[in-house]
Amino acid sequence: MSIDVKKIHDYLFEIPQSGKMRTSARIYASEKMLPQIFADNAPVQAANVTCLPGIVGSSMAMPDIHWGYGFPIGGVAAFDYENGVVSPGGVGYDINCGVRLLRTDLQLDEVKPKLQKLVDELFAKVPSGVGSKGPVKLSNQEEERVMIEGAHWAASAGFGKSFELDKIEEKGRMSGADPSTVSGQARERGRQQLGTLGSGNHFVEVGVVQEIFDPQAAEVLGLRKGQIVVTIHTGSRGFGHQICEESINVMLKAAQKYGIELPDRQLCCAPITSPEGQRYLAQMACAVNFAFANRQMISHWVQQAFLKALGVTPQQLNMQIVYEVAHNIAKIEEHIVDGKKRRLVVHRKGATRAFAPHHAELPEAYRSIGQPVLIPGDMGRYSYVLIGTERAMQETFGSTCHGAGRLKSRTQALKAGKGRDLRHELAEEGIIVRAAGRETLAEEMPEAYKDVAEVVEAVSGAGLSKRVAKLRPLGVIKG
Amino acid sequence: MKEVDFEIIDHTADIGIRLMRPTREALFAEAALAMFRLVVPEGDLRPIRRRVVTVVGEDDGQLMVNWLSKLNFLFQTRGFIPVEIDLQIEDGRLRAEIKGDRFDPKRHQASLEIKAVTYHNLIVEKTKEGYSAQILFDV
Repeated sequence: MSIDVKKIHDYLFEIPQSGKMRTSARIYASEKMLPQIFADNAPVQAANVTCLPGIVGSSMAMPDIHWGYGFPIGGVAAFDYENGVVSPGGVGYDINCGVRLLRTDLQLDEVKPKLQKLVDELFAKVPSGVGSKGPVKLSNQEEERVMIEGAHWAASAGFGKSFELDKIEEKGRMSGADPSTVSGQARERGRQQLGTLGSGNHFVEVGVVQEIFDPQAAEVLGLRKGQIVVTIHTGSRGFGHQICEESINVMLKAAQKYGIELPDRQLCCAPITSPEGQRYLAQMACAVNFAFANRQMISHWVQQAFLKALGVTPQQLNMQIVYEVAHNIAKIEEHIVDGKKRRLVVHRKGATRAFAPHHAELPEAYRSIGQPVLIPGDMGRYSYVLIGTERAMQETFGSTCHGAGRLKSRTQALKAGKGRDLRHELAEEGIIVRAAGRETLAEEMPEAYKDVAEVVEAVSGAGLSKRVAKLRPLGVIKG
Repeated sequence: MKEVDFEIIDHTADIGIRLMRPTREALFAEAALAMFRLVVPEGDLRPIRRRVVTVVGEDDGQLMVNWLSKLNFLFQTRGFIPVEIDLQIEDGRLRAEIKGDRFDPKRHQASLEIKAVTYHNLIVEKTKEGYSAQILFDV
């Protein structure tokens, strides 16, 4: 497919409708980012998504767009509930991969002298790396409770009882989960991996609030300069991967059955209201809840590690959830389209929900400012806390970016890391890292990623979200 | 460790393999060994456990995805790493007798976790010289 691109404004570019495309594809990015975005196949993937039935508005890509499977990473696509499709490829293998931000009452000078001890303790307490297993033995019945109750199961089992779960997207428990739709293989993969971080780009990061852009919103979120925070990035582990994998085989058949023409097999899908579509949504909700439980358990160990390594009381620590977002998910939402309220299934794959102030889905405490959006960068630079806007509601079904996006492939990163002591290099910058895999540090080195500030600049320039705070990493554990 | 000749498809976000073999059976068997070279690139792999795996697929592409997915499942849940594979394919059904090792962090160095075997840009085809495959993994 040859690509024709039209500039709409400084931060928005359009691939107009042509050929089998049912609508246009829109890419939010700065002009500077475009050559890199177009060097990859991702814009073609954003265009391919427009060929699917029932798409509403444009297929959209956020500035951190990169090549994915079928759907691009950084993609947003909404489909009409009655006439549209749902696609597991539009959610991704790591269902409800997401980010939780925890805040504490500790200041930088209280943590810095004991940082190595804290990172070692986190590394010891949070199972991470290839082949790591969770410490909890789940019965089949208990695993079904995880699928239905999400973070609430974890809290009731004693993991992070003090956290306020309404500060999680979907309040930590997505409705519509039906464990009877989940296979034995998914259950088996899940049982062993609940309460594990995984590998690759997943991490737990101790950071400090470096800069506040919006003091009023920061105050509502309980964030202030110099404060110690923790970011957790992980998802539904093998449980979600297995569900996605199995659904793709079902959806390949379904696409044939319902006469849906696919530009790429990985875009396979079924009508939302079909038995296959409904079954996928019920399975996906189980994996969404699994991921909520996973991050809740990891938060518990993070809290324990802080208490032990720093010798503070739970009151002195006062660890609380700022917010938790899902960035690989499909959700049934109502949006105003051309002046009419419509029921849609919004797919966000490597994209974050960014609802505007006053939305009923937001926690009561945050209604005045809008939804917090958590955008992790690489482990050497910074991460951002943003909030959703009315413009995002109007243009992107209330969606924004999710992270930095890779710049170097793993092999390129390994080559660039050869002969270098990355652990030492980061320590010189004041960042202590520990990784389970020998090659993880090189693969995940800061220069392997784009500068997340550019991504954030593009979404704030486009008006899809507003900057609240910038966080700087101090200590990182990786899989 | 036995040498497996394959090309790594190096992509910004993910990774894949490309290989050619004279027969379909050799292609499927060595695609599996190549995948495990990515997962466990180093270590002393011993053929000390035996497993029989059967998978089906509506075409060679789906058969390849289902076969590698099954092996990834066995690695994720039982730590099983294939070392020697003897397989037959007939009417869209693959049956493999596999001798392999069990993942042991003391003896093996794991490099990456494959979330899934994808259909994206998947190629499994007969060529003039034999059979070739291109498979991408979500990692």
